[in-house]
Amino acid sequence: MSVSIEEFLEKYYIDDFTKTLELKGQKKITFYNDFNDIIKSIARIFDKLTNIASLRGGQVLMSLAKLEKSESVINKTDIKRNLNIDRLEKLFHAFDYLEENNYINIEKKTSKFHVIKLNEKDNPDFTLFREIIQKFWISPEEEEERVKKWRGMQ
Amino acid sequence: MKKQNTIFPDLDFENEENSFKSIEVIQKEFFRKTIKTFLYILIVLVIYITYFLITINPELFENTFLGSINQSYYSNLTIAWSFFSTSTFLFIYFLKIIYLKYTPSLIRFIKNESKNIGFNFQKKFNSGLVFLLLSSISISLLVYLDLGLIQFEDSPVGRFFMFTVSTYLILSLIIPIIWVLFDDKFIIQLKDDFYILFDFQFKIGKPKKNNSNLVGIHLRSNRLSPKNDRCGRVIHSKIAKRRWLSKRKISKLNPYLHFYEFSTPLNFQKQFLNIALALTEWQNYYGSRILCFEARIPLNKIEYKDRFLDYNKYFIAFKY
Repeated sequence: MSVSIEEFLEKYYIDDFTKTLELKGQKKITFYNDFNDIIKSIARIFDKLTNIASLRGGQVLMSLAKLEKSESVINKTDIKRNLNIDRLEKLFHAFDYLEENNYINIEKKTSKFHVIKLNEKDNPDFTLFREIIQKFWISPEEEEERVKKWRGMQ
Repeated sequence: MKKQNTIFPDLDFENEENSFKSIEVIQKEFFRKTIKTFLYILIVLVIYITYFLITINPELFENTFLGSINQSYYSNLTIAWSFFSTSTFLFIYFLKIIYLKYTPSLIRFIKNESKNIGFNFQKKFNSGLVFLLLSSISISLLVYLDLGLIQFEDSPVGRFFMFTVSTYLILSLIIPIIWVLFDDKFIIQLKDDFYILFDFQFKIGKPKKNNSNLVGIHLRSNRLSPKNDRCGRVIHSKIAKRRWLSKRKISKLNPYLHFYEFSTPLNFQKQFLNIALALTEWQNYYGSRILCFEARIPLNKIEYKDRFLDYNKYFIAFKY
C-alpha cells in the first residue's frame, strides 16, 4: 500500500545507468500505475499539509521527517531548533493536533522529555513524504547555516 | 471576531487573536452551562430528598406547608413513582449534559459550517421524549391502581399481571436512561444507514496565550462491520490509510469498525468531507468481489494476471 520513490527507482533500474529502461506492454502499464500512484500520493500529501489546522503543523511534520534521517531519537526541542522557533510553546498546538490526528507518535519518557516519531505505520503516504523531504527539503536551521557560512560567520 | 449576536457571538478561528477570543467565549459558555446544570441537579436532589424525608419522618415538616398536606398523598403510589422516576432520570440526564463538552456558540459554528456544504447538523436528544412517553403510560397505570380501577387478585393470573406491570415500570425508567447514555447525540445524517457522530474537545482551564488551547471535533461514523469480518477489516484499513483517517480507539471492547476523523474548527469542512467520502467508498467496496477477494486469499497466491486485473480495477475505481 505504501508508495516509495526509492522502491520505484530500484524496480525500474532508473538510477542504474548500466541497464536500459525499456517499457512495453504489461510492464508499461505497471510502470504507469506505479508512477500514477506516486503522483496521487504527492497530491494527497499537498492536500493534507495545506489542511493541517495549525500554523506550524506542516512544518513540524517536515522537520520530523528531515530529522529522522540523521537522528535516532527526536524530541520536541530538536524540532524547535530545526525550525528556528524561539519558544517551544509556539509548537504546542501543532504537536497536539498532529498527535490527535495520528500523524505522529509521542512517547513521554519523562515529564519534559518526549520522543516523537512520524507515524508511518498508519499513514503510508508518509514513506514517500519522508523520502522527498529528506532528499529535497532544506530546513530553516540548514538555511540559516548556509547563509551564515556564505557570510563567513562560521 | 464578529459580534452580530450578543447571546451567542460568532466564533472565528481564522487568526491567532480571534481564535484566542473564541476559545475564551467557548470556555465561558461551558463554565456557565456547567454551573447551570449543577444547579438543576441540586434542585432535583433537594426535591427528592425532601420528599423522601417527608415520607420517612413527617414530624420534621410539622409546622410547614408540606407538613399540612395529608400524609396519604405522599404515600400514594403514583406520586411516589413519579418522584422517583423523574428525579432519577433527570439526575442522569443532567450528569450527561455536564459530561458532554459543547457550548451554544460552538454548536452554532458547526451548524453554519455544515450548512455551507449542504448538511444538516442535528442535536438529537430524544431521551426526554422517550421518558415522557413511557412515563405517561406508567403513571396512567398507577392512577388506575390507586383509584382501585385495576386490582390484582391473589391468583397465578393476577400475579402474572402484577409482575408484568412491575417489569414495565422498571423498563419505563431503564430504557430512557439507556437512551440518555447511548443515544443522545450530535449527528449529521448522510443517508439512511450512514451518519456521522460528533464529540467536542477543549480545555476547561482559562486559556493562556502560550498554551495550545486546541479546540477539537472528533467525528465518528456509524458501525461499518464487525471487527472479526476480514473483508471489512481489509477495506477499512485501505480506506483509512489512503484518507489519512484518525485511528482513535474509543474502546477495545467495541466489536464494530468505525471510521474516525479529527478536525479543528478551522478545517472542519475538509475533514468532515474526508470521512463522508470514506463512507461512500465503504458503501461501494464492502462486499465487492475485488477487495474481499484479496482479504480471503493471500496476495502471493493470486496469479499475476488476476492480480494485475484486480489492482487495475481498484485504481480506476479509486479515481477522484
